[in-house]
Amino acid sequence: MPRAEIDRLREIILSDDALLAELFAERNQPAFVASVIALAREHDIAITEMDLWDALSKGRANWLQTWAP
Amino acid sequence: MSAASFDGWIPAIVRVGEDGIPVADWYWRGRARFDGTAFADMVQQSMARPFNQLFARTTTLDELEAIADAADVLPVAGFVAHESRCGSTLIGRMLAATGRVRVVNEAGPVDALLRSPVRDGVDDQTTSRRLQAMLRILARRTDARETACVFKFDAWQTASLDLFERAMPGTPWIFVYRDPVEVMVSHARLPSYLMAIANSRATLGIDITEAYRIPPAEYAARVLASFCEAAIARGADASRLVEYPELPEAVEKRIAPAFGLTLDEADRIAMRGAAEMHAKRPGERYATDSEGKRAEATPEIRDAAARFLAPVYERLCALRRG
Repeated sequence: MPRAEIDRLREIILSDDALLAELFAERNQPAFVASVIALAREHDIAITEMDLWDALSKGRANWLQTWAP
Repeated sequence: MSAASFDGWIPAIVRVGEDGIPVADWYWRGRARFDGTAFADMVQQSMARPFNQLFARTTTLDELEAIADAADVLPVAGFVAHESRCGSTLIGRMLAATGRVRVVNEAGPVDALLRSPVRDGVDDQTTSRRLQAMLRILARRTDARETACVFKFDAWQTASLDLFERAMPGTPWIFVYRDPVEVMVSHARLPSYLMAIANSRATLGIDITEAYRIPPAEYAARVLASFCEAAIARGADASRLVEYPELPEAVEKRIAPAFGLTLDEADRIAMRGAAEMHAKRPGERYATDSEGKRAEATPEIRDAAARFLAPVYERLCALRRG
């Protein structure tokens, strides 16, 4: 998982309240991934759509393992 | 890693990481209040969002302690321990209705510190230090109106009251309990993880093979009795014991004063409004169901309640009466 790239994207998002609110509110995964990819391109961060889907899938598994009944 | 950079993030999961070191997964929640709703219900929605599945952060528990040390936190006014299914959520709802009290209700990451595998091989001193850090993290100031924080425990955390007292010395606590048959019928209607045989080691200190041999009603009564016994062992007395029929009035008259919370008329109005609604289904008006529960009790429930739970219930009543 491209952890450094994801960390950098998080930092950018957390520094912009409006962007944070917009991305946090997004419940649609494809739309969310498209927005994050656009953000990465805007900031020259080398991360692919596949990387994001893979990271999302791992994050979801981690959450479900601990919390889902 | 600065404490400020974790403002708005909640450590919702504590687990053992791939390298065997316990870690916390932090999820963005912003400034959303803790209003007495069960912690799991409150954080699930934000955890399910794509943002948190991609951008959740992970720290070691040592890093979590450092963040807690640097945090600006609300005073912790009190702990609410309870038998389960006995009105403790109502207490939390009423206190939170004032808008000035944050009520953290059955926080999973707190419980994880007390259970396997995170607790395995960890001494009491380390666990109480980690508990202190977690409580401080959950009590961080986020809302200028809030002046105090109250933690409502999971029922089985009553057995860990000593660790919480060590983590936050001098914090007042109460123990809430209810008629044995009524509590048992509630568990029969809606089974709880507390009654899962897989948890027999944590609740009754017995192996799963032994637990399987115990009839279900007896098992439930013995688990509930263990919570009550733990409260007595920790020093439950008239000032700390609250029985269900005393609610909701006891929240204003006994619990708020015991927790050092000063109420004004607006607080009392808000609390009485909260008491009229169902604590776990806030859209519904509350109606007492004690009679219905007693009528619904099976012979097995009545027998197990009388044999295994009523004796400790009677001791709690005697202690409460002083």
